[in-house]
Amino acid sequence: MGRPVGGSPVSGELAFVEVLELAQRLEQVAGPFLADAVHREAEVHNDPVTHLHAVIAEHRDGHVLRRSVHGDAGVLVGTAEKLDDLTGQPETHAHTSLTMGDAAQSRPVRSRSPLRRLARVAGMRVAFVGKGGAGKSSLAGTFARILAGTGRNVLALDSDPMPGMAFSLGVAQTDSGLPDSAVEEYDHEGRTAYRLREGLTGTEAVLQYATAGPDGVHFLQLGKARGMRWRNTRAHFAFQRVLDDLPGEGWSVVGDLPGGTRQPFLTWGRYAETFLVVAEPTPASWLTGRRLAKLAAMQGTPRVVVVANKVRESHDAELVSQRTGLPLVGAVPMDPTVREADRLGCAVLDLDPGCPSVTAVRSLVAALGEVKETR
Amino acid sequence: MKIAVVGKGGSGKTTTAAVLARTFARSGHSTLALDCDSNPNLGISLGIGEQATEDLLSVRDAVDAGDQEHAASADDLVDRFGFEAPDGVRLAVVTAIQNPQPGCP
Repeated sequence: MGRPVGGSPVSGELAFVEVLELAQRLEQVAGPFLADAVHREAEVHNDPVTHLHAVIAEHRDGHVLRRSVHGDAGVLVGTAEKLDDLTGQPETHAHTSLTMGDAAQSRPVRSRSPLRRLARVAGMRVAFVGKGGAGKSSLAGTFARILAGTGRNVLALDSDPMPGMAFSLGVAQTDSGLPDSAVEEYDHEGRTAYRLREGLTGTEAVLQYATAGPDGVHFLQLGKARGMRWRNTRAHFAFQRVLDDLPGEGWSVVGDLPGGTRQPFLTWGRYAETFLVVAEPTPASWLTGRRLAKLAAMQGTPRVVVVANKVRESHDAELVSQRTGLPLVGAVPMDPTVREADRLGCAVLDLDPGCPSVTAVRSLVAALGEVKETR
Repeated sequence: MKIAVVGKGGSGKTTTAAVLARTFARSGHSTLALDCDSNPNLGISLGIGEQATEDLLSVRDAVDAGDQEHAASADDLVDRFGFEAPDGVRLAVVTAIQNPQPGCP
């Protein structure tokens, strides 16, 4: 494996010693199988501490250890705590690596959970973009529910004309849009135009029409194609008003945008403070990421970052960051659980809340919270 | 014959289109591969590479750029702005989104 994504100030040698010590104690706590796996990791990788976290996370979650799957395991931010749970000594490993690209610093493990720390942060507004099939909906749905699970008000906003987010959220209802009655015609300089009906604010529209989802998520679809194009247009212009008046204080918004570089992505994502490009380790995904970054830059200065998805090799996450030219905020391993959830049409979070991809999204939620906090 | 490949994101449209195009070309048909996706990646699947795909000028941009005649025929456009892909496939990118200004919703 190459340089750990987050860059660890711990020298390979020191880390190695730490790992050996941990492995010895882990042997007492978790049995020889795990300790053996840790030893193997330490031999293979020059950043064994972060890999150790991954190994332990997988073990703790009851998964068979898969050495090749988790890639740059620094993605599993927050597993440091699991490690602490196991070893009972929170300060043993000096650093945890947050996969935040070059801007990120490895930092001492803190006693407080990243997710708990997040609760102090104001609401975040994130929009998931990327190539079709990169995993936007899967990640966005999981992200929204994990965020809601921290006790926040979360609006999961689906403006992808293709279905997806309802499934990844585990919301049974796939049509959760605004009714036509929310829209009224008016005369604008001699032309017929459309707006939200009199007295209906964007916030009220959300509160009134959003579907209640698992973990307290509020789910709303805007911009869905419900019929031929000319039937959608009027409502769509009106629905866009909602985006300018989303619930503010104390609310987080997690948006799932259309795949690719469709022109409206900035229109429908204009509430976002952060565009999260979901990119696989493939050239088509990188090219899409570069195009999205270019378009976003022309529009102003929303923060554009990348999350590597379906990573298989240890250097995949770093490669995705390099080839898209975007700062990396997380990496999600290739995970058969996601494919299975897709096949069953259910939320990956409901199928297996401890699977590697969900663990990684948990880290992503924490990482974005951190970025925001320090911004 | 004229075939349009459609479907949900990630279901394999581009890959399918590329394999179809190269298969037809190999069996002796003159084949035009049209990338109508606003995020055009067909070049990658046809095998011309990531960089060449990124550098492809869309027909629309070429026409908008100025000195080409707007009334050029479709054949002429494909000749002028098409790109040679493996197995003799002619690749043309119809349009790519180049600016972030809102268009249709």
